[in-house]
Amino acid sequence: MPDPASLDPTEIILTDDSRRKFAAATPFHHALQRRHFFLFEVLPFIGTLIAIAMLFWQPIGALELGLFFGLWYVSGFGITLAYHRHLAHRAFKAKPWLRTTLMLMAFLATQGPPLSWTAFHRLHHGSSDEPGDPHSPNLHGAGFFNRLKGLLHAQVMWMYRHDYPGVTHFIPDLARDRLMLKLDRYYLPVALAGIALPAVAGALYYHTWLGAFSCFLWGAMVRLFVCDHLIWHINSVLHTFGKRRFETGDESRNGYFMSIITLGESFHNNHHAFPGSANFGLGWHRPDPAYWLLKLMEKLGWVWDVRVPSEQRIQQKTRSRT
Amino acid sequence: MTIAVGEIERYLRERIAQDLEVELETIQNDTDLTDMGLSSVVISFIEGDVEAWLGVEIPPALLFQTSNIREAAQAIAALQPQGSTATPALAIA
Repeated sequence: MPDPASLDPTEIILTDDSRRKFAAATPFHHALQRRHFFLFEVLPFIGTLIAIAMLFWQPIGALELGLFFGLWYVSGFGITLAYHRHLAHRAFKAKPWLRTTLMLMAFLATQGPPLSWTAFHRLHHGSSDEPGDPHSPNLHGAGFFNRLKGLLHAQVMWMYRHDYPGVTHFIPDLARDRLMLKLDRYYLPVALAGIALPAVAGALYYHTWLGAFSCFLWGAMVRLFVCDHLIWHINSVLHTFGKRRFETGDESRNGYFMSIITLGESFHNNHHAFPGSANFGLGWHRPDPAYWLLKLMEKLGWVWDVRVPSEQRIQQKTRSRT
Repeated sequence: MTIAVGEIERYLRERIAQDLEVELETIQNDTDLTDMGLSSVVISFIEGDVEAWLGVEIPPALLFQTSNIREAAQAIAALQPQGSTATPALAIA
């Protein structure tokens, strides 16, 4: 008998087939998708190439490195804790000030507004590696080139143009969440401010245009390119290569060696086996830094109802694979 | 009975004003739906609530393709079958 406390409420939501699973795919949506793709996928790629070329005559400074790693981890913790574990899977509850802080941190990763992100993520879980999954690498046919095409689609190209999930079907629980509805409106200005911030810091520190530009490249462009592709590799690589600890009915895999830099997200097969779990590592020897931070915040009384499956459930699911 | 266009317009205005946390007077019937700061998610939520209220299925793209509240209300009202028994009033949560 499953432990009711460890059941994922999103699984219950997804059983409601009475509402439309897809909403609109209008020119309005496609224009937004194109703009977002250009701003937050194409520009960081170009910026990264320029940053690498500049290294030949402009050595990278400590401020650039600080902005790169600092904003990477701030936005990374935001995405995994706020968007993924809290909003999409309701794996823990948090005080309003902390929800707000984590959301603002997540905006810096420029992965889209929180409500849309949540709807897409629940759509992914509801149809993982089956038709309807927005970013599966496994739906493009057999053969080397088709597999490559699938990987490229899952990694980045799906964001250029896609259908839009029906929010009344996928996120009805958020329709009355006033705080999230309000924060959702501030996604773009905060994301753009996060891109401008390194340039301002560079200008103040170096007092030169070149210094500002160098900090902009490393603190915004390279940081976005690296951070986003690390996250997107979970959609592509970790639905293709890696170990499967649990039978999940899809192609999700665990990637042990990427666990620290993805803050625990690379235990993707564990996550698909227990989507409502706040702990993705499911074991002390599988590092999940975001879960460690969550446990610290729980001790401080900032978060509560941190859901983790019982050892018995984990064992049952492990046995069902063997 | 069918719900009149005016009532649908009033509902949309009240709902949008509430979502944007602005005074009702700032939202007019000729205000562009996609040009007032509403996210596509909120527009879709509104569409879902109107569907539940009127008991009609609204084409997913309708609110994104009509240019203002008046046009949207007219298009939604036209979807109601004549002589239907839709609930006459809806409280906004």
